[in-house]
Amino acid sequence: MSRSRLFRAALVSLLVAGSALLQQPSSVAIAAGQVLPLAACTPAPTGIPANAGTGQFGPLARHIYTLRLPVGDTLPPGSAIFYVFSVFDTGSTVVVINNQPAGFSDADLLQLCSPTSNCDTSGATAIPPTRDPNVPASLNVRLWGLGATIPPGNGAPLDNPQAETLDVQVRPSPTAIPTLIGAPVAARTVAHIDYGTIITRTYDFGGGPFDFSAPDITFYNAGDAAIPTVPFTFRLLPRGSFDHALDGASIGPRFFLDTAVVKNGTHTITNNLTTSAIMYDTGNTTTSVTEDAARALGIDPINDTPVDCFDADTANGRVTLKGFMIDKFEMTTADGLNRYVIHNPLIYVEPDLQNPQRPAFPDGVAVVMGSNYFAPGKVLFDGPGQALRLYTALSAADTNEDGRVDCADLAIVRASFGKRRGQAGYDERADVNRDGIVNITDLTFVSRQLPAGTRC
Amino acid sequence: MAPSENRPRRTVFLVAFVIACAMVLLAPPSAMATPILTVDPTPLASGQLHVEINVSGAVDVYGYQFSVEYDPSVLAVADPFNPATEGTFFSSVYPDPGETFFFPGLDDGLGHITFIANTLVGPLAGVTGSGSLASIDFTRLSDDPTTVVAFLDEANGDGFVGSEVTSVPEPATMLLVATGSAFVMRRRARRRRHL
Repeated sequence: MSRSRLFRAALVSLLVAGSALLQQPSSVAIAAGQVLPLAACTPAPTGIPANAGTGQFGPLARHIYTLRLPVGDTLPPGSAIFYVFSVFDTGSTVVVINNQPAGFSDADLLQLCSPTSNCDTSGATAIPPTRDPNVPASLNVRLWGLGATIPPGNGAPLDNPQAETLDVQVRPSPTAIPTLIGAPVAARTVAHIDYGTIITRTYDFGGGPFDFSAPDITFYNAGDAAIPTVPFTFRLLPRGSFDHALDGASIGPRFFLDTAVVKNGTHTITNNLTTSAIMYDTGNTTTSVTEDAARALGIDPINDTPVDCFDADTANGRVTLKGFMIDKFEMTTADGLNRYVIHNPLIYVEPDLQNPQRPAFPDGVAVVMGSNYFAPGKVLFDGPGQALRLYTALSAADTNEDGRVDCADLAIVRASFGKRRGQAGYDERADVNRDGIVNITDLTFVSRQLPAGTRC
Repeated sequence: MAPSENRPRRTVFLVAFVIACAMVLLAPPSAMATPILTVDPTPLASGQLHVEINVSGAVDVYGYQFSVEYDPSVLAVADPFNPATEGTFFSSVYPDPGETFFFPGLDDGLGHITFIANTLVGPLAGVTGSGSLASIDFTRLSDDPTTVVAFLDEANGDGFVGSEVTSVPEPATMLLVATGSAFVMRRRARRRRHL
């Protein structure tokens, strides 16, 4: 190579490097299928704006990114909002505003309002035509005033600067969903907790009250053709309590239940976000349990590596909540008849700053449940036409958890009949009473709950 | 399967007859009955042994599960994958297909058939009375006298389940079964000597 060529090459390299250094990562565009290496509790990787958070959600995290956007910030073109969370102590609003083929509207953005904050969506811009039937090609979102009216000392000790921010997950395209669904979930111990009270959930739904005792209630995502044309509001009315859910459990004042997704409306939790009692597949349910209870969930809060970390820069200093994905969480009513099942919940472990002996992991363990974002065959927030299904408590005889008791449930028992826990062929679903053996007790339990006239 | 009219003499000699009694409490305890399990063997001309496991004194039975023991040096289950066939105890009351759900049991090839079970399907009334719970066909491996025992194995949760309340089976009286078996075998042996 001649000296002139070498000089030109060096000059070009300097220019490229210089421009790269000067360029501020004011936006991020994630191409479809692009995977950026995010690790739990690590700094934001290259390519993510400086204001990006690094929250992850389980084994699917590599496909999902959390951007922590200051109020009024703009999402860059090429991004699609997937979920929006306000910070925990201001209202854990889980919102889906993706999958809108015709573009988002202000009504969609209304969902960004947490129950305790105002939203001024006047700055929201329309979404251009989509490049993909499921994901807008670009999205500009201005989030005005979110969190601005959060009252000081709103009952939560966590009153932190993040109240002025949103956590926004962006993802390239739902075309990656099939791979997400297929992503393995680390096997963990299934928790089985006898729950003393049958919870009845009731919605005020439009003109309500709406009886939520039906086995399977369907709400629709944004973009679904069947979405109701009239905006609606639903309200969760807790009819139970988690007070007896676990030994020593209590409702954490810092975290709370929040609900799932509602389109064209808002939702309100009537208990003023201090307690919660409703638990279902798609909501975020938070309670506090003991460390032992966390271990019963398959979590070793000391030694396990979290799949998600949530940094909370609280008045007490920087706190890192460690999240663990378990494969299943279930609560069975004390009479054994009904069962709540949450697949792939994300469990957060809350540090105990009050306990100097155990500063990292206390007896009080915050458990955030219900985030089964991609449970195979269960709840899909993001597929076109997919419905958000909110379950009431399943009958314990509903071994395949499809919302009804039929011969398929009996077949599951039969397939594992005579098998013991730990033995090949043992299927816990068939072991209805969870006593470690599939036998006549399970068989007759399921069988006697089959509808009259059933023939198997 | 009907017994042969001209059953071979050796078969008659070699078949041991056992009555295995299992004391079972049906819930509620105050209204308990005491179902009796009996094993009724029938030697066949083909050399096989057909065994009916019968129950008597059953009250309001919605489901049942029991176990069988046999001597694997003398007998082998004819169909190891489906050791037992459903009896008529349920089907005599509910003859329509699909009204019962039968599990043929698990044969370990070592002399144990476990988890022979049957349940009614749906909200049907329990069955009361007597009848055949299941039958098992064995192939004879030798001409030695042998024993077939039907019993309730507590470890497996064997028992009778009522239509209203799940019953808690009493512990199977294995000692009783063993005693009865020994008695019957001894009696058979005496008869053989006298023939």
